[in-house]
Amino acid sequence: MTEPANTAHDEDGPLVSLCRKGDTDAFETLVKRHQKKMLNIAFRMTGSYEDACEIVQDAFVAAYGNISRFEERSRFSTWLYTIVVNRTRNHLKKAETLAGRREVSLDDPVRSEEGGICLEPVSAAPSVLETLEQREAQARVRQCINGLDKEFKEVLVLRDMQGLGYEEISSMLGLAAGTVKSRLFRARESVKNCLKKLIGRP
Amino acid sequence: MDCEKTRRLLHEYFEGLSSGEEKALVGEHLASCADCRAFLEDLRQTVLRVKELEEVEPPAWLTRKVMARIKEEHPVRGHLFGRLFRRFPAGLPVAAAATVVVAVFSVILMRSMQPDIGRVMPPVVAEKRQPASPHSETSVPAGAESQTGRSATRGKVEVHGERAVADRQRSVPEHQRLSEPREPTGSAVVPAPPAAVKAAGASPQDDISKENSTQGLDSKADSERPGLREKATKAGRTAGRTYERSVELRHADGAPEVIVTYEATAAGKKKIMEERFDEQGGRHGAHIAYDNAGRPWVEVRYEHGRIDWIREYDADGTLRRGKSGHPWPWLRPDLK
Repeated sequence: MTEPANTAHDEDGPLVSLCRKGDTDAFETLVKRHQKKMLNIAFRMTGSYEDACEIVQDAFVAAYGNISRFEERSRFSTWLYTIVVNRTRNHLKKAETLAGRREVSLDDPVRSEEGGICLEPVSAAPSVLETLEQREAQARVRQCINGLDKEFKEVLVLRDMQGLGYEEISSMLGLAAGTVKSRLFRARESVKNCLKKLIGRP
Repeated sequence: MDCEKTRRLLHEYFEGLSSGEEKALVGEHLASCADCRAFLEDLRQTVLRVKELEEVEPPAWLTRKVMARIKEEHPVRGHLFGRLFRRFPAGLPVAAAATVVVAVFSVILMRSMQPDIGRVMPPVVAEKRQPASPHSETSVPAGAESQTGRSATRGKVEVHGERAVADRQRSVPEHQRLSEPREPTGSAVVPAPPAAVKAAGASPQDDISKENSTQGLDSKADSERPGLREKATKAGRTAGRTYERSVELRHADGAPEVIVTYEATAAGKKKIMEERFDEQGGRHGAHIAYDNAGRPWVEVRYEHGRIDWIREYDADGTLRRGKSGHPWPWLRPDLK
């Protein structure tokens, strides 16, 4: 299941070569190809759609400006995701500095989206509209993910939401594969416990 | 193998990443341990739920904005004609014709622009300046309308009409100024924004002092501030209305800002519009108009690196169109 950083079959390769020659149309194709994934990475890590849009824009502009430094040791997409992850990390760090560090223990009571503490699981009464229930459940999952510390959140986002390989993630984050795994496992267990607290089941 | 060790291995086991030996050991333990089987099932459900989370779609303007910024920061070097030739394989006549058209058009454009271009020194931006004395018109507040911290810090979102008029009055010579159908003071044409919206802003007080200080500026105070201000004004007549449009570039404290002011008079009614573009590409503008009874109303448009939205206020500050809450709640379920 792991995808090694395979550069031989990088489908972006020809377009990247064109970008190096100043072909902005080629870059536009790359933007269209990768913006959704990049946006979702930034969105899930920040929890803010508009912040994510800003981060993705900045990441693409930076990528174009530095495309000569892309050494093709990884896939182009990995390189792009690395930029977006780093920019999101910086963004979060800045936001943290502004707001003052708020330490959250994985065992803290679960906070509702309004900021209150959820003491009771959500009513178990069956919803008439299945979609509503599903949406509700999704909101709870989001809430649990948002409650994770950023180190744990980023591995969960990259692995379980974006389906990137362990090797790719560890090279992107500059972490040993073992660290990525242990963080991911803790993140999953934390989400699992959080969901149990909120809705009585994962 | 005990439960603790098994659970550490379960993550890779259920992803199918375990080595053959580990797989056998975990399988063996699972067969005899109901707790670990439940643990595995919970884990599987959790990851499934995370995977099933809906992805968000990028806004339609994202690509456009990225490409616009790239083209701005990395202008095409020299081979524009090469590109034209490539686009039109039978290219030479087309390119030649295009060149002639562009050249002729440029000359016409230059001629029409030239007399209007002026450079005004020094700048007029006094965001940080305090008024010498409290302004007498504090009842006319600025529209400090900020939904998010970002807007509050970066947006400097205000109802600009007041400043637009004040600026215009300072910078446009008396004889060029169009007659004012309403009260002559700039501030009088700007209705107050609703109190609820003001309350949502970061610090309406700051904006009030900003607005007042801008008005209270005199040319002596301006000259104390270094900077550059370039302004091109064009007046004309089109489709039964006279108009005056000015495009102004300001460098205030190192932050360039482009302000476009457009004032049109048609059938005795006047419209004033101001738009601002900052270095981030952010854009916000106020549009002041008079209804048939001569009452002013204001349309404020916001666009800040994302979806734009519009609000309209009556002269008394009542919001008559647009919502006062978060402009895109459907994208922010966490703010509901």
